Amino acid sequence: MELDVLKRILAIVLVGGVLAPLAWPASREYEIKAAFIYNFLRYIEWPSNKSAYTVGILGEDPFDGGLEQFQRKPLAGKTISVRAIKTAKEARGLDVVFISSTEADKLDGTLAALKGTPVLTISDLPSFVDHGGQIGFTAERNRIRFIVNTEALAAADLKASSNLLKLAILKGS
Amino acid sequence: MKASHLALAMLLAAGPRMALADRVVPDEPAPTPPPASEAAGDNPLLEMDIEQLMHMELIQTTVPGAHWHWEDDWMVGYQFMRVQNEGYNVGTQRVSDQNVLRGGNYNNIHTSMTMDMHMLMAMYGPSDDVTLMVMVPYMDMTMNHLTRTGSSFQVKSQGFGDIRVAPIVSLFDEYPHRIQLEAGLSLPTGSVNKKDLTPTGFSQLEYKMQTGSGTVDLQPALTYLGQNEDLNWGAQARGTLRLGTNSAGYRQGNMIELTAWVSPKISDNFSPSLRIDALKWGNVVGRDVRLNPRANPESDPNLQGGEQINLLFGLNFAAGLDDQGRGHRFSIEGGLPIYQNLNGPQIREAWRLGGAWNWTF
Repeated sequence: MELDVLKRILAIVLVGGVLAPLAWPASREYEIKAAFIYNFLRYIEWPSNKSAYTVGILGEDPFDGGLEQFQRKPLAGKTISVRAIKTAKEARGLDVVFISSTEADKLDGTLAALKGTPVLTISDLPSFVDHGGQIGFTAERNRIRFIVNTEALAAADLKASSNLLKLAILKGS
Repeated sequence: MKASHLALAMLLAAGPRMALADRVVPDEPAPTPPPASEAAGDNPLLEMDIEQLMHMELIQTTVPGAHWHWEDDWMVGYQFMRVQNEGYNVGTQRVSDQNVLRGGNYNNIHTSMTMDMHMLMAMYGPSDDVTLMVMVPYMDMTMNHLTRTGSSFQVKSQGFGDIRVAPIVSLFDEYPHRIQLEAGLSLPTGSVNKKDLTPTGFSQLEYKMQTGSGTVDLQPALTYLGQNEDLNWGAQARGTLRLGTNSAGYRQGNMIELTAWVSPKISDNFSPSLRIDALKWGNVVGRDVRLNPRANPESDPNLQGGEQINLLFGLNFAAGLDDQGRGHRFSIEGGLPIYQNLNGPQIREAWRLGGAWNWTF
């Protein structure tokens, strides 16, 4: 067989391999992350007693609408509403905001806009907690882990259960 | 299963309520059961607590070759492979049996060779970063000969091959990429003294018909694995470095193998795969004095090396996988050489077909 043909076959396999993860969304990953976020509502205490939760997604929705299922699953009788938001200003009135990776360029501005407000910030952007975010997702050994920035939580007047903190990778004092 | 493992399994089986029982946030609402009217297609993971979610594998591969195991995981498995060789090559050119027989002035040549390999394997993860592996092959080979007088005869050899042990160590693991190093060691448990009845008596069989190398061989491998929900892809470089000389006075040629694969996930339980496999191996160094190099090409130590590229297609199935990827996996894979450059005349590969089953628990 001609070497050119072999090179073409090898190129197809390798290029296909490199491009494949870009072409297919990892929805299982976001099903797991959605379930984490649902659980975080159980483990976080807001300064004022909540009768309902509001969750926002800032930027492109990587969950493909998956967080909307929260609306059919109230927690201890407290309803959860989910909505897409476009600016940090809109997030100020929410309880939780998930900051999508499409917002990477605006991350510092977004976190600055939310500083001092009791909004739980969550993201899977790399180094999210280093920028002042409260809960950052990471992956380790094929499993999801989460990093909690305890100082950022305290600054937002949010309290986390010790049971949540003992499962988390902690950042801060 | 360790006691800690069992305890964890019991904890997970107990569900969210146990893990939430000692919460300290005063106004934490108690978890509520899902409403009776739960919509079809809802994310079932919402019923899990965080500890359970932390055990969920991002990727549940159906591809048996993508191997590593988490701490305390065991795997046992069986693999079968048949490699069929027919016809001769000199370099990249096919040469007829008669041209080899007459042109090379040999006593006989091989019209075909069938190599069946049955392999038992076991793997264990002492930690999340290290997997230990042992592979025990059993070889069953048949070679058909054609003599200058036009008669034919067949020889066979069977027996255990060289047992392979290897720790596999994770060097880099950041979803969706993983790089691991395999420090393989092949032990000379196979035979280099296989004989069978030939027209000239009970004779030593050719190099390819021996079930072992007779030497301790280093088999390092570097593997890159990429996986997401919909695709498994990767590449591996593997070497075989023979140490010393065996008791028959020779050592097999060293070998290097480069392989790359891609496997789209069609469903949770099925994924086809396409693999390209390139090999280069050397001639025998030294010689077995019981073999006459003029008897046939396979007895000549200088006609053993070559290069080959195989294209292989596989079907991979999984059954009963739990959320941590434990369960049964099955695969079949077959392929053809698309390039062969042999130090010949040397019998060429026609096709190969294999199957595997493994059970992780």
